Amino acid sequence: MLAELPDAITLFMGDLRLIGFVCLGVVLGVFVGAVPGLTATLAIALLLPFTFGMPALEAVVLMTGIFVGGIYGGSATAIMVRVPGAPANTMTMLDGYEMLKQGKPEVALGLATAASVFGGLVGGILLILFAPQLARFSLKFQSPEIFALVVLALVAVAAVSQQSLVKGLIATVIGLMISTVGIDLAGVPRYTFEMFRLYTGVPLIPLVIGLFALAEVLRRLEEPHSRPKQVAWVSFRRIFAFVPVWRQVGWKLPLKSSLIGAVIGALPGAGAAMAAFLAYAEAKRSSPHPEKFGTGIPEGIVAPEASNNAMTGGAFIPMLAFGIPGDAVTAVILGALVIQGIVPGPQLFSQAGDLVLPLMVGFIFAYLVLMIVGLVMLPWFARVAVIDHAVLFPIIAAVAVVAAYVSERSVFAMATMVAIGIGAWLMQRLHFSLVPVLLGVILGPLLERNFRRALGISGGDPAILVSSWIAVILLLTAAFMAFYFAWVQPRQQRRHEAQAAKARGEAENTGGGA
Amino acid sequence: MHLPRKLLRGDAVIGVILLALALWYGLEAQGFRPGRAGDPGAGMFPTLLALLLGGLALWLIVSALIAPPGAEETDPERRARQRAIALAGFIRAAIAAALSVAFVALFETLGYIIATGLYAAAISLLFRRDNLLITLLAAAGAVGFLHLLFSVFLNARLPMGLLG
Amino acid sequence: MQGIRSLSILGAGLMAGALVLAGPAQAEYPDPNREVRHIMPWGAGGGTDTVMRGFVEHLQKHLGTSIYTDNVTGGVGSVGWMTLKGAPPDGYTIGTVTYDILTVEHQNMAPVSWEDFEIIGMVTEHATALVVRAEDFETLDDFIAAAQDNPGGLTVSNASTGGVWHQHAVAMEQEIGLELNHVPYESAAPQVTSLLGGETMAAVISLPPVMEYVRSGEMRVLAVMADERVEMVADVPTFTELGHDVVYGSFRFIAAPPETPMEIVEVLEQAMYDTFQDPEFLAWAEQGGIGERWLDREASIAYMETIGPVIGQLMVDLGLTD
Repeated sequence: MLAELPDAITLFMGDLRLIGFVCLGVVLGVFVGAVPGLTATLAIALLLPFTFGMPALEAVVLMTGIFVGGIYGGSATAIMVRVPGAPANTMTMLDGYEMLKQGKPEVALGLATAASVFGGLVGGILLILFAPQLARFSLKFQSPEIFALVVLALVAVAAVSQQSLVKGLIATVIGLMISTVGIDLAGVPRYTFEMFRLYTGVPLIPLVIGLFALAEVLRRLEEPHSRPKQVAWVSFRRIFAFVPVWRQVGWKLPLKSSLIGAVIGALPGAGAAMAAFLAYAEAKRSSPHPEKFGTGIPEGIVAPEASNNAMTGGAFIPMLAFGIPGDAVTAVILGALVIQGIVPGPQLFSQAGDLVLPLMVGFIFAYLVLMIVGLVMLPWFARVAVIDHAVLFPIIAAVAVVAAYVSERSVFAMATMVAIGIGAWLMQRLHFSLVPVLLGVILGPLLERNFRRALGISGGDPAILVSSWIAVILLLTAAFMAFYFAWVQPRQQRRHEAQAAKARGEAENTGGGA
Repeated sequence: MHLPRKLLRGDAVIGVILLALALWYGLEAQGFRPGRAGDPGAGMFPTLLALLLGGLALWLIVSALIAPPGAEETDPERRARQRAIALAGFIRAAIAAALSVAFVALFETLGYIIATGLYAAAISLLFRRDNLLITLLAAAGAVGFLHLLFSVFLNARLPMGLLG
Repeated sequence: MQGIRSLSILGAGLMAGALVLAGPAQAEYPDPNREVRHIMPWGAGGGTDTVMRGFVEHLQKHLGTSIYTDNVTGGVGSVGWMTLKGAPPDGYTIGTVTYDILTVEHQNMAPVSWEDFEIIGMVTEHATALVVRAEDFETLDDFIAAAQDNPGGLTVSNASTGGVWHQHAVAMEQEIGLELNHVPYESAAPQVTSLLGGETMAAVISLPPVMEYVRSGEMRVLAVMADERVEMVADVPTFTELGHDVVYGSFRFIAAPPETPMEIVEVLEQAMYDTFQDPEFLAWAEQGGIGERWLDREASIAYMETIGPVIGQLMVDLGLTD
């Protein structure tokens, strides 16, 4: 396949229309992704009819651009207004918004851009080099292995709820409970209150909008109105302000996070949010100063953004190899491919020259475009901070409610969004953090279905859960990380604090003695 | 680091509410059809969650009761002022919540242009009332942005209501 | 103004042919200046959405006015069907009705039935198939023998308990007299990976998702639940040929809201018929392997009257309804 790579690059670079469609897609994606409640999936689905008349490669390349831009765009809103554009950007919000509060929005946005591009490129290179191998590997992830992986991802809860572990766990359980609404794996309706609209569960997009956008508007209203904090007008000269910070973080963390993301992407159904959860937890575990996560440190932005963008590359693998989408966006792209008469499957790699390689080249090219688009738009995103709250938040609220309507075309979705938003605002008032709720909602169905399915296959014998070495390794890692976050780290932190207090006390004593 | 004492007592109340939620959720789960073959059934996961939530609620109650009292503002005048500010904030947010409910109820009747315009203006007034220009900017911004985004850009159809 | 309008109606009529046949009495429907809303109860970008969007894209040429697709999703399709049921019966709202309406009806999920609608015609039909890894079984008899050796142990995947392929798997199981272990997945795609990865032994599924593996020799179709052989896999026998009366498939219809006037229904039916004569549509359908099949209104209703009660009884046998 690699032998044909130069041809693919020539084909791509020689076609101005293709380049144009990539650029258009990326800009569109960044824009749509930045609006809370609008995701790349929705944008692609709405634009689908326009692509019917287009040549296959152009259509697919346009969608790839939207996909790439969309995942990135959500990080800008997460940083600037503390509302993640999509579930995958939730972790970025934690440290990104704190960094904005420290008056460094251009650094946070720059780190997110660089990490996204880096992650995307790593994912793209892996896609070109190892797609068939990764595809074979992903087949090893059946129900017991996915169950083990979800258990590992749940450890991220402990990583984000250092403030109050019990409240973080309660919030997770509430998220898991929300995820049980609807018809279960065995066709049993649960907690639907006889409402047929709830049979397919609480819809995810309205839930995310309510949880973060509406709740955030309500929270802002509680604070006494103040002029926006004196954030400096970010000039174009500041767009590279993140470079020294990135050097300080080093290359190991973004590389590790990207690998996590690419592997998660290659597994069908796991998705970008899970990639970000896992990368964040691992970044915190391996950090020499874990207590600083959530206070606006660069690692907290770099890890999830590198990971969720690397996931985009990974997500193409099961789609191209088996016609099985790795996430919701590739599912839509897959539909478009099929309508164009291209049937993904093992044979696609053997005749890769026509479509697959140009697609992969287009994917990598999209990330190069993203780097430029991201840096050019960076000062504009940063300037959102100077908009008066009385203008910015009403617009966010209005867009959020209407986006909920558009996501399902129903007032019911809007009502769900508002109900969840009000509930989330009350929870936040009571010092429950909302990120674990989303974690529970996303991981809940994966956890329960794979567990029950595995037992159904084995006839009830739980040994199936540890029947493969992959599952065993994942479960042991989960146990190790849980132990680390719940036991080792709090002790280390207490010791640090005690030492710091003692040092302060001694300093005071000597100061008093002098 | 210690949360104020009042809140901790509040935590005990939350714990009791969560305990009730866990009880209802768990009892409901007992009525689900049992599984076949090796599948542990529809009620297994909810029952587990109910037990987990119950345990966590107890943990919350106990830790709220045994936690040492936190520092509280001693000066009664300042305490009263802080409370007044917090109450005013709560009322603003509660009004916005009610407005959101009204927005949903009237969205299809009024159409998205009128509904979002009014909604954005009202939310903006909750933030500040000293500058009409700001209010108008918020309303126009919301309507313009939505129109551009959904109707022009993404070709999604929104209800026109009165203007339809 | 009036002149321009009737001119464009004439143009549309010539293009479609339908209006010419329908005569001057129907000259008012469809008004080429009014768009037709196509209610799609499944998510944008999914299998049904993709196929039916493509179909109405071609249908609008023959109807003489534009059609847009509106995804009204949720509740296993029932939200969309309830919306279609309540829509004005003026021909400017149509909708896609899929197999799942039988599931919704018999499980009493929502007060809606296929009989509520004015069925216009069938668009696609997929015979259900029994698919295995090529290395495991050669023939249906091998499969049956293995299932009898290991009652309740042979794993067969479906895409949700109580859903279309579970129903058909149970029907097959009962007809042949087997005891299988039904394993539910979220959709067809994970059914395919679980079969490839060896987690399940067989899949009850439609043909398009597995065709690539059948061609490459990794998978084998043991038999199809059709009344005659399926062109895509012409060498595969039907269950009937092998002596088992198992004939099931899934389908997609276009339907109009209740009490839509017959004149309008006929115009729509004619436009659908013309679409199925359109070489451009047929080429597109073949390329995508959508499983197109045309049945007119009468034949479609007869089809539903046959399959409806059978599925209802099946759901009772499954214990999914009472």
